[in-house]
Amino acid sequence: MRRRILFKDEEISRELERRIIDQRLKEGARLPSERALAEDFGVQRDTVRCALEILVKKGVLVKRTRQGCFVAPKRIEFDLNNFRSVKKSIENIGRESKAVLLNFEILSMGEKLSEKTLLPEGTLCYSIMRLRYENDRAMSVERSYIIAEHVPGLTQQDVDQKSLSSTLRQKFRISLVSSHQRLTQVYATDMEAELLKVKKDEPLIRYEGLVYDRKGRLIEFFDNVLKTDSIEFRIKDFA
Amino acid sequence: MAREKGLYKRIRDRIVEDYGGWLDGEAIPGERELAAKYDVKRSTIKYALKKLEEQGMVYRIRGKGTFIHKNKESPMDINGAAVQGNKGISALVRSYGIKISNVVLACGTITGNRFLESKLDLQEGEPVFALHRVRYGNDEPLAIEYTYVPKSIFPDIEELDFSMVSLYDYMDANGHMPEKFDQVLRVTRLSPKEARYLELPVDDPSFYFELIGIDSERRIVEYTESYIRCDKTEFKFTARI
Repeated sequence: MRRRILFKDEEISRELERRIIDQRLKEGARLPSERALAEDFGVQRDTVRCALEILVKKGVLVKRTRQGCFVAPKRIEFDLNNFRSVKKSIENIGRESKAVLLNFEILSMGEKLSEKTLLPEGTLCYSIMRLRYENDRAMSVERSYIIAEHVPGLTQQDVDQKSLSSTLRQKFRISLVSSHQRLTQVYATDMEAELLKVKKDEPLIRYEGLVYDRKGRLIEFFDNVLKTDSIEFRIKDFA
Repeated sequence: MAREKGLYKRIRDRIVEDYGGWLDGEAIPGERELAAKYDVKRSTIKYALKKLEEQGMVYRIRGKGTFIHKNKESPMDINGAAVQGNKGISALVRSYGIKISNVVLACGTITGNRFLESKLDLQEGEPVFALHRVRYGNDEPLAIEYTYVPKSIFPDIEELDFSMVSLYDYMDANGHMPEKFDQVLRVTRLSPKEARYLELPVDDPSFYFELIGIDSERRIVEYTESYIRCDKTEFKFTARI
């Protein structure tokens, strides 16, 4: 006999995922019961349970105790070919974005920042820390380091409740053009856990980037940690 | 010293950039030449090469020079698409000089799966060739990849042994190399099946990476889902603003 390529639970999970993509099952909708699905697909309830579990792990469904499975909320998409601000990415799917400034100071780079930016230790930069919310749900802790010599006299008012890129453009005539970025998975520190209201050691996404302006100058190094279930990164090189 | 430290890293990265693509066993220029090329002291080059040797990207033979060390597939990148696409998201194994190998879990033709048909933009009932692989780096599991291609454009695909042959080499030879990609990346949790193959506990985080590739005729030639170990990889890309 030929080896099985897709097991029954995998087939069913894909079929359910297709119904979600097709919008036959909409965002937030509750899925039929395991029993109903089992009947629908003509399989055992165990098989349905495994299929649902696959989609829960994949983040396509969310499971609520004693209520069953629901189609997961849409993820905020970071489109890397059309790099928008976090705020715009959130608003793009019809949610509200809010950023709370936690800290603003000028500091001189220590060893770690110097390694990240390849600038000498002691280089002055503005350090900005924000907590980002989407619809009142804490989503990410954003740290940004702006090289001070490019933005002399940057003030707290410049960055509070304002997009950094528009401040840079309007006040300092700096237009950002590209960014080398890196994604890794990390675990929440005590502080991040508290801010994001997750357990300590909850997996988070660390999203770092070096941002350059048109003249090729390094303007900013950002280092954000984000909750894993609310976002995805996308890059598409064809229409 | 702080400056020096940054400098050697920059030089190391430039060496990787300039010579990382060279073939296994190829000799790269000598220390003196590199020092002139990058306009740094020879001691900096020496130090950068020493670090690269520790990372396994090069090996040095006394009196002969420095040579690229890699295995058949690029040792750094477990996501062939990204290298080809050259501007996609690439999954990089965190250390250089890793030996990549594949184990085929299952392969064969599937018909009637509407989900895969729609991902590949096929008509109902058109056959899909499935290739499920676990990819290992130095004999440790790195990723599990589920790849699907339209069978009709690769009629003899079932005859190949993909534990030996690279899928992209095969697709290229057939004139249907994926050239442009639509890629999505998330961090998800491992389900029992993926956890077992990646030798991690269920529920551990994993990168989930999905891509659709089109060839030069803009035909969808590939749909892949991969689960990639977070502890061994990172993703890099350049974003345009």
